[in-house]
Amino acid sequence: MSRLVDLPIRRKLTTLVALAAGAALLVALLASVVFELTSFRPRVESELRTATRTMAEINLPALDFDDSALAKEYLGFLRFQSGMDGGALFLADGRLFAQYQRPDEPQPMVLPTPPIQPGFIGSPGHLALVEPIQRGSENIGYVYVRYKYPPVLSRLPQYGIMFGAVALALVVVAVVLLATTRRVLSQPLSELSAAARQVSQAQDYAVRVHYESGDELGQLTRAFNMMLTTIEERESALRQANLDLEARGLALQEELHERIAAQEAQARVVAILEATSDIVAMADASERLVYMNRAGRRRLGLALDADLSTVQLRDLYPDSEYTRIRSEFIAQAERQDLWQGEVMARTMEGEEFPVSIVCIAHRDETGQLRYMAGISRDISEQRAAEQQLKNLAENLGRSNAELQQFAYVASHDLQEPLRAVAGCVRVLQQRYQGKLDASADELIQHAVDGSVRMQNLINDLLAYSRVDTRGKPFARVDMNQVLAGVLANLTMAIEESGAQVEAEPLPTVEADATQLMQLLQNLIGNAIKYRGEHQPLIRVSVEEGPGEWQFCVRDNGIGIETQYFERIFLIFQRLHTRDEYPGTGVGLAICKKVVERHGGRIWLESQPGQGAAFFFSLPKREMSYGS
Amino acid sequence: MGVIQHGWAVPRGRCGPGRLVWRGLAGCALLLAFCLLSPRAFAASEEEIKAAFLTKFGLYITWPAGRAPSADKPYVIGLLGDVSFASMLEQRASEESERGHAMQVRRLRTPGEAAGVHLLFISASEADAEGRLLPALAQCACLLVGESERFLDLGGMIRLALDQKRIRFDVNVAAAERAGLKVSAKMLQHARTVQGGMR
Repeated sequence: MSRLVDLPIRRKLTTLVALAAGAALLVALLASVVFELTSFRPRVESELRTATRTMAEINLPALDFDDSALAKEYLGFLRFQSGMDGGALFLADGRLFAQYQRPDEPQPMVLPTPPIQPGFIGSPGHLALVEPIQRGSENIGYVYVRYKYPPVLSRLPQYGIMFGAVALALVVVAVVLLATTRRVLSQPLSELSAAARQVSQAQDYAVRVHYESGDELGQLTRAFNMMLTTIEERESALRQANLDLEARGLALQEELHERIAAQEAQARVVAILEATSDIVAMADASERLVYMNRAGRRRLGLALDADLSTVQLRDLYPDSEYTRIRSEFIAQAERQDLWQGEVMARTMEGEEFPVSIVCIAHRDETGQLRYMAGISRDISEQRAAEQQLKNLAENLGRSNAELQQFAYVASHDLQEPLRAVAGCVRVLQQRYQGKLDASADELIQHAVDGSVRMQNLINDLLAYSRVDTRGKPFARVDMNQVLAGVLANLTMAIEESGAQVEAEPLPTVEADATQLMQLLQNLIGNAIKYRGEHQPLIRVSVEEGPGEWQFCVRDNGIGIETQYFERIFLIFQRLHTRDEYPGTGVGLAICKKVVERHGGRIWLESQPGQGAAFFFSLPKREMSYGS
Repeated sequence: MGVIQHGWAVPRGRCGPGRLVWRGLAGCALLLAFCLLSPRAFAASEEEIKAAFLTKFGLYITWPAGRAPSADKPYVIGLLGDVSFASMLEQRASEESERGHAMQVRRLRTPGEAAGVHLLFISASEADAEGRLLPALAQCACLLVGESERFLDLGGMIRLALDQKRIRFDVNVAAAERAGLKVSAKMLQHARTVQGGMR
């Protein structure tokens, strides 16, 4: 019942009507019970009186004529009177005259004994009445009639039917009442409630309740509708304001996001700056440091938590350099906001070291210089390395020149005695061939071969050293003419081998014509020399690369294993015995030297048995000699 | 006793006083049974009954106008022959009179003395003379009550008879009506036999 407050009004009404009906029913029940209790006994008494008088009247002659049989029969009429279950007649002196008891009554009657006292005799479940039978003043006898109280249960159906009828009537009345209240009260209230719920849940302020009445509900409905109209107007104004606010909020949010993004970007930049090994620093317009990255602090001997505002720009440079920075940087910054150069920097301990520096000027909107930032790279190691390299190159050049001179001089000077030895040996052979014994002939032949080979070696070595020492200045050279010359020189070998030489149209280059002829003749000669079992097919082609020409001499010969690609360009290095392929092992070394003298490169692509392709590049521009 | 106790399912708490009640009831039942078996054990003697009947008959008979007993005319019972209960009847008559119902008993020697008598009882001792007496009394407008076998056949109106040790009576309504007497139906209900009558 405590939640009755929360129930819908319809339910409340139902509950209240049910309660009222129940209470009415209860009251009716109580009233009936009270009525029954208060009226039952008098009714019974009255009935008993009627019965006794009837019995007295009809039995009077029986008493007169001593006819107890008929008296008993007459007493038996009591059975037709509801509730009476027995009776008896007594003579005036109290002797029993006749009696009757309902045959279905188990409890025997307790009859009064003389002297008989008229009046009611109560016993459990029964009420009896004794009355005298009189004729005038003569007492003829007594009549006794007993009433049996009906068991309460036997009366229940009557009460049940009665209360059922009352309850049914109450239900009908309640239903009618409820229907009426629903129509009159609940219905409009439910509509109001539903509308209010829709308003509160769906925020639908367009809802209106249609209920026309002059009562409080009607007033409430009108007030509700008016209230909704007002709310609707305010709601629309509020919605507009909300939209405006939302737009502003979005803009603010966007701005915030941008700021955060900018901050994050800045943080990333700072992280980069902190991570770089270059020194990054920034000073304000009064040359006081406002930022220096980790690398800078470490290199300049500043503690990581040092107060930068106490450090001035002039503390970081020797005086002369500081002066130069001020004059040059500021003058430059006036025009370009950027200055780049190399200066000496100075650590807190006074150590000086060279840096490559980029200075940037930051200005405000009015163009006033606000900050100066610098990115410096410690180039002391670079400087040292450069100096070392320079020294090394100088030494190398010197020893190289000496070596070239030595080789040339040695081979040149070795030619004279060798020529004498070779001449003598050849004369010896011509004169004494067959005149000495066989072993002498053989020894002489060995001496002749050895001298010839030595002469070849010396000539080749001389040619090799001459590439550098006797080179001619570069001139414009038509590579087609060079190739034609080469083919003319090799006519015999080509015809002998049946080789087929194809060539693309070749460009004109700046070069030493003699050396290029030597280069091409060596490559094509090799292609013929190291042919396989097929007819040699040789193709000379060219491609234009970035700033250079790339020439290619391709053959279908025996090819070279990859592991020898470097070795074949070294002087006196041979892959085959002299018996297989004669030669001194200088040809490709000369080729390499010629190409390198022209500022190009030489390389090859090959696989054993599948031919070889030798490439060399020549720069398009004229190169200075000896660089 | 136990069976009764059990059958009536008397609560144990009430066993003591209940037993007394049942004992009393049982005693009464025995007494009642005895009364029913010998109804006449306490009954009055035949004479008394007969005397009572004679006093009661008057209550159920309507005499012709002028003959009926009233406050100043007592109910007169005449007796003919040897009536053993005459004194008993006289006793009753005096009691009735004291009670306000004036009643007289006259012992008659001859039927001629029957004038003014409301009821005339003829004793069995006069049975032989009844054939002669009754026709003479037919016009006296008194209720003729007798005891002999042929009393009603000879013109008598009520005959007292002993039937199974009880005094009963037979009525000859026709004879009564001829004498101008009306017999109440209430009384006829108790008659053993009714002869004649209106039917």
